Amino acid sequence: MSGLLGIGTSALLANQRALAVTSNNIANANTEGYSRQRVDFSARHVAGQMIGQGVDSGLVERYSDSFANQRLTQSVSSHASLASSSDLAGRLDLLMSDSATSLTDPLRAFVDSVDAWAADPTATETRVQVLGQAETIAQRFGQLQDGIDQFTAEINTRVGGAVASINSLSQGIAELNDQIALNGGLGSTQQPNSLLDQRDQLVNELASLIDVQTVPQDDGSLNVLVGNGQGIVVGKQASLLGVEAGLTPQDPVAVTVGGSNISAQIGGGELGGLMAFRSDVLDPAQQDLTALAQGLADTVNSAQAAGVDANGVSGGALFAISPPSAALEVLIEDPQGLASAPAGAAAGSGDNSNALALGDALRSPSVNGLSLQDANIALVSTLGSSARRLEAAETAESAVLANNQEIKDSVSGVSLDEEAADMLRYQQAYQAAAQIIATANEMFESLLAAAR
Amino acid sequence: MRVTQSMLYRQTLTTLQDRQTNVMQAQDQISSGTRLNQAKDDPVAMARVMRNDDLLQSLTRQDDNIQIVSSRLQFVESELDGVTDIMHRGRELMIAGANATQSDEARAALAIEMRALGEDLLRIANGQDGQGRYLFAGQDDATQPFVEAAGVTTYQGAAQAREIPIDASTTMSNGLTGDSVFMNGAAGDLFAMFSDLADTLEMTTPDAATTAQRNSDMEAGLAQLDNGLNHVLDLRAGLGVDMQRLDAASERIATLQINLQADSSALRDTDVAESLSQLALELTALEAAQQTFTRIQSLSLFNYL
Repeated sequence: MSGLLGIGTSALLANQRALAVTSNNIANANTEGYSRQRVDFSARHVAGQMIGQGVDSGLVERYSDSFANQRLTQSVSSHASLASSSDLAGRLDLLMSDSATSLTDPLRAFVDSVDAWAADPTATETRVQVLGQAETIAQRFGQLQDGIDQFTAEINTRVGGAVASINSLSQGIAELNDQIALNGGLGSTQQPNSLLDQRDQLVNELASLIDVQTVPQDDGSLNVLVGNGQGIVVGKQASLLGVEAGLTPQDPVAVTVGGSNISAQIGGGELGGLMAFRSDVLDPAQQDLTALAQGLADTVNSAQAAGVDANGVSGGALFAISPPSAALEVLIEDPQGLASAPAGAAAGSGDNSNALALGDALRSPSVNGLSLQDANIALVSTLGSSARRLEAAETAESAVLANNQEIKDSVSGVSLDEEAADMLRYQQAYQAAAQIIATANEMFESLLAAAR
Repeated sequence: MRVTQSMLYRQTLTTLQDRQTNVMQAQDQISSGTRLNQAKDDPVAMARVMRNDDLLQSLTRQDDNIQIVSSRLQFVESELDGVTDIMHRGRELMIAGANATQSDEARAALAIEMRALGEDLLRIANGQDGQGRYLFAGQDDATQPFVEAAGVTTYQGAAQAREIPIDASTTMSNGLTGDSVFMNGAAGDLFAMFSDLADTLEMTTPDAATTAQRNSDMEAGLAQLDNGLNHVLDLRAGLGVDMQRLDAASERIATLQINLQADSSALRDTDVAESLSQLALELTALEAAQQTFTRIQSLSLFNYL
């Protein structure tokens, strides 16, 4: 009978513990990163005895699939990278292709004003119109250059913010490593489940900022590597990332670890997206824009130099440019300074052949084998294609992310129906165990009554 | 697969967001009237629309140029019409003067009219278009082309007319140079011709020798006048051909413009009927997603405990 009491008590305790774990699961059903837990039951056995001695409630196990977790971490990284680069590319595309901000309309209007001037070269109004459109397009180049500079400045700010978050996350992971290692490492002992959940959560947050590789250690700690294998968390030690600013706020910043520049090696997370956008989209766009401005300035200035203005003097340069900036400056203020007549013509000549030649030159290849307008079309459609490709990749990657999240959830997530069923199951078992004790008690009473 | 609450919740949320994005997109396309707000919406279509627009701008300019040239050529044509009238009148005067019954006094009167015709011709040669530009000064249309000093008229305009583009590879002169009309034809200097003709009419013929001289001068003058007339008629015929070419070019531009606009419109403009039915479809899907969400959320074993 003491055996019965022992068995009943063990069952009571075990099922009570299981109910507590179930309740904890329900309580944490909406906790981000929580992995559901269950109590490991085992039959209590005493050597040499036929009948078992009750139930042992052993370790509280955590449902977690390290492969599923790793895949989720990877897709968090790729998705965050694509999300930031796709957003930036979409905005740059809008800047370059929206008719209110793009080069297209001013460029078209400038070419048209040259055509109108060529048809009526001595009229002041057509000359004023050419200078006006030259001002407009110079201004537009300046605005686009400012726009590109703002993108660089935004990237610089966001890189700074991301690096600060990365540093605080890696310190958090190092601290958790320390606590987990104190708990005794990966063995048969009770695992610090909530600490492990927290650490997985921090690793995912870190992955959303930078692509990481994780290497589990025997003592239960997790080493975190970035770039080409630079460890930012080794055991309980965190190495901080640094940001190296350029000379001016418009110069791109670099990300360093231990003094070496790892900007080019960052391939994922928000940081990776920012770096990829900068090197694959923003820098080429800047080069194309500057080439366009240079092409326009060269074409117009050499036509000016080939002719004479209304005073019979060789024409001066209309545009000034100082690469790498695409900003243009208009140098001529007097409409009579435009050279419509060919070299050698008298002052006030009505000869329009130089203006006609400028109209032709504006339509001839001058930027990487393309005419100015075609080079602008190429710039706009290249950016559009990049933005579209990144958007499609982001959509695909978010489906992969959702899928990986689902796989992880299907292992680790809390199902309330399941917990409700478990609650019933453990409650019934608890009631039955209580009944065992009551029965043992009755049996003891009957025995006492028989002996009385 | 184990299905958990967070999975259901997340999936429904994603579906709702996707649907809402689609609804917004359809609504945006309908209200803005364009499906090409930025290049990423369709980079290939955007490039084509931009190229069409560039071409349309050039075509509009060429059409403007055609109107300018054609209006100037009409001015030139009507001035040449005046020149023809003057020539005809000159011819009548010569024929009248050639009549042996005419007295010297009557011929002198004819000579006065002949000189007046020469002055009319100079007025026409210095004619201007609606913008106050000289019609026969060539490129230098601000310079008065013909100046008369001591009975000699000289040409001061440019040697070439202004060339104006009427399509991507063709230019046309926006008029005739004065020297080609009044100086360098088969009849030579027309102003000098009228002056010579008047001199011939004024010639006194006291004897048979001078009479014979005058008669042969009259004959030569008449022949020169005919040459001049033919020259002007040739120029007018040439102008007629030019005007026809301008009309043809303008028609071609109108056709191209319509084609380009249709092409751009198909690429850029929202198909409202299609977008409306798309919107209706997306709204239905959104409502369905909302309904299933509430129904799934209400399902729980806890309801029965």
